[in-house]
Amino acid sequence: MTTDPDLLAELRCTVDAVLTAHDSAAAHRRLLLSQGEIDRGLWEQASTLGWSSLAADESHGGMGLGTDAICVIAEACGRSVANIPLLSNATVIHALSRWGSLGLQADWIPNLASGAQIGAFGFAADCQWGLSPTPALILEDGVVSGTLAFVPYGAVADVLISPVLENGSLRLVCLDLRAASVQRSIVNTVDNARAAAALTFFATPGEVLAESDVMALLNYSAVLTAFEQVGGATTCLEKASEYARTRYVFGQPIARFQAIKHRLADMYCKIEVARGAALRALTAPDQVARAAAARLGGCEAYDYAAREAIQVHGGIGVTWEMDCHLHYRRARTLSLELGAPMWWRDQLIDVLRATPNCADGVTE
Amino acid sequence: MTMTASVAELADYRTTARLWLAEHAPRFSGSNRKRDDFQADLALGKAWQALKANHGYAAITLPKIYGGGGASEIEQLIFTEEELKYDVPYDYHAISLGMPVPIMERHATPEQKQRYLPAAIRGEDIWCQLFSEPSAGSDLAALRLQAEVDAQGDWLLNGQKLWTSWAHVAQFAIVIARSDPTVAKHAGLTFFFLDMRSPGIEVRPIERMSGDRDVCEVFFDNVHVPDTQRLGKVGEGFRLALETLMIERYSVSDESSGGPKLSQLIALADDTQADGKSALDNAVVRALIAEAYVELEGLRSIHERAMAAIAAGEEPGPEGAIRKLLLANQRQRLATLAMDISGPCGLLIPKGATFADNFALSWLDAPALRIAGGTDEILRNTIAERVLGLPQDHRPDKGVPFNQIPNS
Repeated sequence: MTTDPDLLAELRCTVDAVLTAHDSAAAHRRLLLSQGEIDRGLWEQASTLGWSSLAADESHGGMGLGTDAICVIAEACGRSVANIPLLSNATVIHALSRWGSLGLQADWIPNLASGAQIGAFGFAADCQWGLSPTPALILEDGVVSGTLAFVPYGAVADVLISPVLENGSLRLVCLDLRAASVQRSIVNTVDNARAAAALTFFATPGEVLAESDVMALLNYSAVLTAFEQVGGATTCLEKASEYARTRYVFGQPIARFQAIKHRLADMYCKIEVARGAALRALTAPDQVARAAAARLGGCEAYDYAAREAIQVHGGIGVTWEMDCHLHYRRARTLSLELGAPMWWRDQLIDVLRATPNCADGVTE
Repeated sequence: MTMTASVAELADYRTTARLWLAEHAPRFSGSNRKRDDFQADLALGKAWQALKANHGYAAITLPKIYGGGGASEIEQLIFTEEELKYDVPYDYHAISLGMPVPIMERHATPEQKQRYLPAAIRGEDIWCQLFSEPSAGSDLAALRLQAEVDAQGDWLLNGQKLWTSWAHVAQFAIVIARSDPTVAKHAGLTFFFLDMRSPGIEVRPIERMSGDRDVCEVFFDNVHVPDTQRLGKVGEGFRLALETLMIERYSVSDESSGGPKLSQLIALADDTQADGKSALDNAVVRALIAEAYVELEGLRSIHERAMAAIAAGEEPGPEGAIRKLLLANQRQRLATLAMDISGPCGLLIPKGATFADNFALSWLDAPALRIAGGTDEILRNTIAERVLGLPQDHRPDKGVPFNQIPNS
């Protein structure tokens, strides 16, 4: 679904105004030191403004806008390193709206859309770089057991969507994290603002989303994340360019040295490739190759931009007071939460092997 | 068609062009090309150009009175996009009609245009562009070809040009020369057009490392050029040269840069055995193919948006620079990868192989792509300066009279 361009432009303005007025970087520094929390102030604002409700259907109190509207917010959040579970909520709302029973939808979507509750999507198991064909959680007789080693927003979420095997098929299961049979342990990570936790389930009741497609949900989440990555990388490029223009050595701005300006040009190319791949994926939902391209492009652009922005800044770039490390942490985090780039490459190549024409731009 | 054709009109235009090409292009492509007989293939190219002219597909943006298509840039881009799906001999005329002929249309007198343009558009005459020199490539304004006024107020050209595409088959040329070496280098240049058969011109094709002979060096020994063949004012040459280079502000190019397609590399990897497994199961192979696919996807979106912007009458941005930088490098990387995958047999160039189907040939041709039409370094500077607003490199030649610049 495509949202009216004027509406998107208006949304972009509002979102930018809110995020510019809010000091996400200061919140991020605070959150790094206090594990397991999110930026509650911004989340309240975002909830009031209905950002979480974009993905939800109007019957569930949502705005019923297209994915492109969420991507606008995702990019803006990326630009300002916002520390809110917006995309996480959108992903859970998407899963429930698409495959959830009416009961599940009624139970969760209105509260997720209003921001009153937080949803998480996670699958990470020890010694797995991506989604494993044998998930960490085991479904047996309607109850779920096992441990997820890392769930973004697991520390604060009310509900979780995760893969399980049901009669040999990989499906999504919905779990109420408020249940007594769920044990959360907050984990220390390179980016504690993601409020990650390890979650252990002791025969927790779970409802499988019938006919759900795990890969489709990963694709959806990957495309949203790609826009967040493009936003973050853009800030890195802008900050590094600004610094290079004003920092003088040997009697001239360092931006005059090709060693610097060419690195910034490369950063720009990677960001524009990532943006382009993300836009292409947005127009072709459920195409694995397109989504994987968005994912890989986003990871490469943000990791590169965050890493090299520090180098352009030199010594000041590695200090706590500069924002460089916030992006360095967030870029790596976004590159891994949905599975490592290597895993996504494998998904992509498997599609290209089956349909080589797809590599030349033909649809799968 | 008006400057702002509607989306539906453009879709119609594309459909009509596609049908027309499907009817005519096969006779001029594939096995109908005369690759081992240059003169025959050139003749085929001229026939193709004449056929296009008869149907309004030659020089689509130039006025109909000269035999052009009388349409706008977007129609030209759409037609080229469709034409590139065939392996037609369009490249002999691509530069001629891309830059020299349009700049003539803008700056020559009505009589000159009447005299020169129709034959060029029909493809009978080919125009070349005498810009680069041994000491003036990326730094075009450093050129040295000397232009001196003679007693009659006409000009005498002495010196050398280099890397001129198709000079050996061209009847006419546009040329930029130094008319005053005592002023700053950009200020002392003047722009002319000339007949390549003028006495004193000697053209020597250069054999490239790939075996191609499409570029030449051109020597000038007291070549007489009437002042009536000056375009623009004396000293205005650099501005005209930039205007010439900006005519194709956005050009459609094949995403494989003339080399094999990515799908061909994937098929090769899938078919090749490495330690009992398909090469497509190798992590390094996967990573490089994935990287190329991501770049192509990104560039496809950039291209789609550039086409939409041009159709809406907007200025294209720096899309061309990104595309050229990434694709030229990608072609070299993929050709190298394909050769690696094939092992020692990757070195083979079978008889009848072409750039489009043989990775070894593609690899031999690849370095030139990273130089011609803007080196990697110049393109990165363009992006850094024009898009990111970063300052120019240190420029010790700025404002200095040309004849006082070291080595000039």
